[in-house]
Amino acid sequence: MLHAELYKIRTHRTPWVSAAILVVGVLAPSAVVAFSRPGDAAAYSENFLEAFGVLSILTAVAFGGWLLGAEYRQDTAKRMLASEPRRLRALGAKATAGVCWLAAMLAGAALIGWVAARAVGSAHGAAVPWDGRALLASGLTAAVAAALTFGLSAVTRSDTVAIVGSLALIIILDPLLSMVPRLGKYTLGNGVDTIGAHIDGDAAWIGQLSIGAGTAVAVTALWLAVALGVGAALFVRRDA
Amino acid sequence: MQTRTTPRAAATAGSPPPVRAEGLTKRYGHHLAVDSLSFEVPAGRVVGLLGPNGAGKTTAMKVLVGLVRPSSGRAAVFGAGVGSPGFGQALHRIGTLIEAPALYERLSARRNLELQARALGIAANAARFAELLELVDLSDRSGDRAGSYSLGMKQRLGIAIALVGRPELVILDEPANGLDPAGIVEIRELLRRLPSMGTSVLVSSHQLAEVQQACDSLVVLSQGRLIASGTTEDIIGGYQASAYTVRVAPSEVASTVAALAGVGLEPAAPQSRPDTQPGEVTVDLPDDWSGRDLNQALVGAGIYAIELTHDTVTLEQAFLAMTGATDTTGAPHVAR
Repeated sequence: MLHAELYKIRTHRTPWVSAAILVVGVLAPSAVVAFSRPGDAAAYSENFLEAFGVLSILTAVAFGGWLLGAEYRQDTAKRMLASEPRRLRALGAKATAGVCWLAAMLAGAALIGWVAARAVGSAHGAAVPWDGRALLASGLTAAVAAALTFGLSAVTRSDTVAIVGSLALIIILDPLLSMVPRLGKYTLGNGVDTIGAHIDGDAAWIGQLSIGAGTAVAVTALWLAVALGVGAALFVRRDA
Repeated sequence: MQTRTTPRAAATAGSPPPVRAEGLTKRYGHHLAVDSLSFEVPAGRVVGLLGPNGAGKTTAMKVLVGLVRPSSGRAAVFGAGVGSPGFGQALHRIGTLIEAPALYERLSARRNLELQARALGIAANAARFAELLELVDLSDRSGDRAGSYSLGMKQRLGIAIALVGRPELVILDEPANGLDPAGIVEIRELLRRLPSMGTSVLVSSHQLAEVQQACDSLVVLSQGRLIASGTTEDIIGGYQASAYTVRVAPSEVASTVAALAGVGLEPAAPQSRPDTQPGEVTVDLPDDWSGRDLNQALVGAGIYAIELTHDTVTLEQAFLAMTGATDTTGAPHVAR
């Protein structure tokens, strides 16, 4: 089953388009900086990290929604389930294949983007540093966004609805929830940001956090457990 | 009727049948989609599942492959109950085409087949794929995206996908949908060939003539319930017609009607049978009358028929009579 899921990812366009957008997106800042501030090493690094942070989330959301939602859109979910009636296993295979692809896509784009920034920077006399911790923090955020969208696609049985819903949750609902007194600090966004800050190790950022690292992990895990748990339960129980 | 019992079927005598449903019921809210359905698909046979739209055919098929949970009753494939621990293994012995063909439309036909092989955990075999594509007449387009195919081509690819794992049972839901007449004949021939390849078949179709020619036995559903089952002859036999059509010169119709009335027969008024042609008189014979008696009565009255035809019942007519519908001529002229 895992082989079939990996084959689907390899042979479909959406994963490759997502990866291409991410790669082009992380290469572009280096080209821009080379024209605007060619000798500024920090500018290369910051712009690259910023582009990676934003585009990794967007492409991860698109990929996470596509992974299962597209099976419903093209009506192939029943073919998948007629081959593997153990639905949790089928879902697990899909999730595992998705994690493999996402990890490869994020790591590959991060590496390509940094190598490009370093090469362009060094051509202009700027030594661009490797910031693995910041990249890891961004990658984690993207992975959480992908997992959230994957769970939503199992609930909604639609890639489009899952992607739009996930973006609405991240961009609109999460900031609104964060304004709720006392409970506002337990949003998914705050949980992921807090974990990211600790991975990044930025002391100034950590000093501004409203919850601790342990709480952030628990909050993030709880949000994901709800999204994935409800999605998995519906996937297993509903008629196809 | 000839039945086809294959060597594999003979070898599996005593084994559980490929499909057995007992009291199968599926309810969606207040709607009863399948109501206490019981039937079997014996090994090496082609069984047709017939019924009007909404009769529960697709739901019953979905239950058999685990896509839909039954509300009550039991369904088993190769002895493994749906949802039981052994069901997954049993499913790998089945090829399915349920509703529209489930294709990855951005992939080619060949890649769709390869994907199915991987999903079933079997090695991708290029020769096997070529053989299947040849079987469904898609060899020339095997590299094209499935999304660019016509409805009939998609349907044929769906059938090829169902056959990837050399299944011992195929469940085909309306496989002739979207096919042109030549395609329908090909599907019929394929269905007839499958048992000789060791594959039993459960097929639903609205193409009754095709089902009649391809199936060993039929299961007829209406509103989720089983209303008839058996061989085509069994089912048609229950609706055997006693009607004869006498064709005379149009100027002799009135005298023919009078002659038949004179021997106690009541010809159907021409306007009651929209399919009646000029010069035709249709009459239902009593049980103790034969066609010979009818001819004798006509000759005795000085009427020499151009043609005397015993109206045979088609599966379509029997089906319409069973399901309470009328045929395309508007005349339910079959009587039990």
